[in-house]
Amino acid sequence: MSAPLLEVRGLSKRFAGLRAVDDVSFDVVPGELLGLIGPNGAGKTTLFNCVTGAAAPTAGSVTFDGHAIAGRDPARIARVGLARTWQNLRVFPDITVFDNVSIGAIGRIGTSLWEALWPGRARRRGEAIAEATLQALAAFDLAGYADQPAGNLSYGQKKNLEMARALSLQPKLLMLDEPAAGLNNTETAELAERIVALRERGLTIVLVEHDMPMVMRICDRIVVLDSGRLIGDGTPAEIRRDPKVRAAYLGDES
Amino acid sequence: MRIPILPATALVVLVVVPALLVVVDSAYIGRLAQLVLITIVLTSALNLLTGTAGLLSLDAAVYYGLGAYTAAILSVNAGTGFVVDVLAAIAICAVFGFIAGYAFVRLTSIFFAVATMALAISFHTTVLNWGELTRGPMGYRGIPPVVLFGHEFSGWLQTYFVTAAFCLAALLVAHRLMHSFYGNAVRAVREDEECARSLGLSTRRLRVEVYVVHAVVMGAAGALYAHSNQFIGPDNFVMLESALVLIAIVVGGIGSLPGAVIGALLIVLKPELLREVGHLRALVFGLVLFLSILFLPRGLFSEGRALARFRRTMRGAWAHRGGAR
Repeated sequence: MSAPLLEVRGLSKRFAGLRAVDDVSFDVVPGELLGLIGPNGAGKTTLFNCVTGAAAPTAGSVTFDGHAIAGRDPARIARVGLARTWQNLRVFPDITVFDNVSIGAIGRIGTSLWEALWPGRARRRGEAIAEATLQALAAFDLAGYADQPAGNLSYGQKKNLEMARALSLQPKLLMLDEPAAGLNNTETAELAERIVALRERGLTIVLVEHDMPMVMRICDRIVVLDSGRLIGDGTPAEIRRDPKVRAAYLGDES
Repeated sequence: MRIPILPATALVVLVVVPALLVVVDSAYIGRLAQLVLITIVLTSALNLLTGTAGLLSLDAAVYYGLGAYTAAILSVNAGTGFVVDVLAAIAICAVFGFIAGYAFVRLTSIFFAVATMALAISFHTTVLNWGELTRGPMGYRGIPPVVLFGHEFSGWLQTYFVTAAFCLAALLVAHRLMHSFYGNAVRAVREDEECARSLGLSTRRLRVEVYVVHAVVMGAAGALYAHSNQFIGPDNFVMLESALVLIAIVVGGIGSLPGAVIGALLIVLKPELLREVGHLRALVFGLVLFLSILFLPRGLFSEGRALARFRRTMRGAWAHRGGAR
């Protein structure tokens, strides 16, 4: 196995006495599709936020591609190649689909005030942004909606838009926070296909998800969180057999 | 067929309007035209901050006044010329704008507005009371006219042309920032700051940049105003002026550059056109503003329409397919 892309070591997050995340350690190796599961209130989103910079951990370290990122500015974390999506839709509703998706590319390439003022320089920068944006739009069947305000899209399309926007950042690691929430079965199946296709193109993915069948079917490896602690780490088959996991998450259906 | 909007604007401002002004040959109308142009500079700069970046601001009079007083104090006391004064106004507004902006951009929505309002009130009070520097309520008279390349631009027509050139330059800056990848980034920060940050945008830096740009543009406009009007006093820079500039962009179209131009025209010309109505003027003016906001909440020329219109003009620089549709 190659060196891990993401290393989480002893990560803890406390909120006034509550240990939302308690001494969690795991690795993500390049090219894998890792599922992060756990019952409601297990601390998945808190863990997610501590890794992506949206929240600062109380203790522990997060190393991404050689950078110590725990508690750092989320913009910097994004620029070193860690992209995320949101559990609740967060598209920019009043601007077009194209402009929405371009934001990730702009974040990566940079927003120089000086260059925006000079036609030649602005055009070079703009063309690089357009290229990344168009690729991301095409990968999510959104090219035909480029000039529509993002607010006009359907729920499923908005989910795709969020993923396209994260991809225009051209990340090394994509972290998805419950992407299947609110989708019907057909849409969930499409989503699963897209995620697998991204992984096959070499992108490393962390998937936080409630939809157990999807996670079991597509993930290479699964880590299980319960009450802030890591209680399982293995292949889908191992996780399915793990008694601790069954008790905590799958319920005692035995 | 669509009219190419940038050359058309330059043609109107530099040829059509001056031709009409020469025909009418009225110093009053000439000055009014110049006032429209200066107001366009203010509304464009404010629309970048309040429209594109979504930071509701009431401090237009502060940077406009800071630039004007910088020019007045330097030229009257130290005998400097127009060019030096404009550069000094730009430098002072950049420094002051950076300090205030760095503090203010932590605040959002109404808190930002209150901070800028406090700044506007403090500025006016300071100007009134710091007599040794600002000459208090008397203001500065005898500010020398604009001199460029050894030529003195006096008289209303020449003053008009200097202001027109300056106005076009300011519009070009606002255009390149609002209608490009830069504007895209700033609008994303406006719509969802946390999400924009997660996509790699340094949101606070962007906001400070926009704040400084608005301060600098307004400061330069103030220096030009001081030299072209040759008199300034604290009454020119009360907070009501800031509010008027804000009303102009709301009526014209928040976040829209054509809206800023339309709003400036309305705000300067409407009170003049309504002079016939006499004492009812203020009431009619208020009513028209109220109704336009009620029925056209996005303004006479909305942001969405402006962005769709300018997308082709910018082509590659806006990260688009360059007129594919």
